[in-house]
Amino acid sequence: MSGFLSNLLGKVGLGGGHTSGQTVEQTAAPVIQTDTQMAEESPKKTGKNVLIAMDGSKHALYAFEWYAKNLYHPDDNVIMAHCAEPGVNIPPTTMMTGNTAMVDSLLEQHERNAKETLQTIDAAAGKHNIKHVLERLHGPPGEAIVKAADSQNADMIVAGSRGFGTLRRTIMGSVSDYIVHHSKVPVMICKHDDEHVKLK
Amino acid sequence: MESKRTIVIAIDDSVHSEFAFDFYVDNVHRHGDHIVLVHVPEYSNILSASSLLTDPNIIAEMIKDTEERTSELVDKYSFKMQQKQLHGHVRQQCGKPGEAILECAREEGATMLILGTRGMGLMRRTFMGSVSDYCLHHASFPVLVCRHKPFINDK
Repeated sequence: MSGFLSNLLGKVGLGGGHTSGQTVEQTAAPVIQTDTQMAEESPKKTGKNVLIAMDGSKHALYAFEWYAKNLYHPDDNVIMAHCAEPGVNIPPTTMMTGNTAMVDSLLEQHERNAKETLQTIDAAAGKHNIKHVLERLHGPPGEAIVKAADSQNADMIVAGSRGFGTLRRTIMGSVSDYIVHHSKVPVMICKHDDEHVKLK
Repeated sequence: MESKRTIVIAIDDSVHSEFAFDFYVDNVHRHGDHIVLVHVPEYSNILSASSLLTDPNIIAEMIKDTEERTSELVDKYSFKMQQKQLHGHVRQQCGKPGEAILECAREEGATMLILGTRGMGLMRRTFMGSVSDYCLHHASFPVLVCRHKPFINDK
C-alpha cells in the first residue's frame, strides 16, 4: 500500500522521488534544457546574461516586454526560464482517491499546459527577434529560478511582480518575493500600475 | 523612436548604492537617459538623540556633520556622473527613506527605480534592507534591486 502511494507521489514530483518520463541530469541544480541550443560560454563585454522568469502569466509577459523594450542589448544572452510545477495543481483529494488514471490525465493536461506556455514564451521572444534559450525548471519556482540564475552565471534576473504563484493578496507575488530575497544578483521586478488600481 | 527615460537611483554613503549605480552604468544605461539621484539624509538619529541631549550645540554639530556628509556624497556622485558623461541631477528628499524615495520617483515620473540593498539602514539582520523592501512593495513602476554576491554573507 505504501509502495503504491509513494509511486503515486513520485509521479507528481513529491515524496523525494524522481519525476517520471523525464531524463534528469545528475547535477546539483534541477535544470533541464528542452532546447538543443546551449547558452554561450563567454559573453561579450557589453552583453549580459539575463534570466527571465516566465510562468506564462500576463505579469511575466509584461516583464518580458519591458525587458525587451528597456534592458535588452543585442549581445545579451537571454535565458527564458519556465518552472512548471505539477504538484501544485493537483488537488490532494484527487490523489487520495488512488485513481492513477485520473492523476495521469491531470499530469498530461499539465504537460500540455506547460508546452503551450513554452510556445507562448517562444513566440513572445520571436516577436522581438530576441535570440534566446528556453529552459524548463523543476522544483519550487522561486528556488528553481534562483538556482538556475546561479548555475547559468546570470548577471541579472527579470521577473514580473505577480504571477500564478501568488499565495497572498499583496502587491508582490510570493515567487518574485522569494527571488528578490534570495538572489545573488540584481533583480528587476517589473511592477505595473494595474496592480495598484485593482488588487486582484 | 525611443522616448526619454527617467532613471531614479537611490544613493547613500554605502558601498551597496555605489554598486547599484555602477551596475546601472554598465548594464542598463542608454544614451539619452535622464538620471535622478535621490538621497535621503538621515536626520532620524539626531531627532531621537535630541530628546536626551539638552545642549543645542551638540545637536547643531550633528546636523552640520550630516550636511557635510551629504555634500560629500553629492560631490562624489556628481563626479561619477561627469566621468561617464551622464545627464541628470541630484535630489535631496526629507522623510522616511522608503517613502521619500518613492515620492521623489513619482514626482520625477520614473521609468524605473534602482536601489542597492542593505545600505545605511539599521536592520542588519534582514537579507534585504527595509528601504528596498518598502519601495518594492509600494512602487507602481519597475524596481531594480541590486543584490551582489560579495555582500551576501549567508548560506
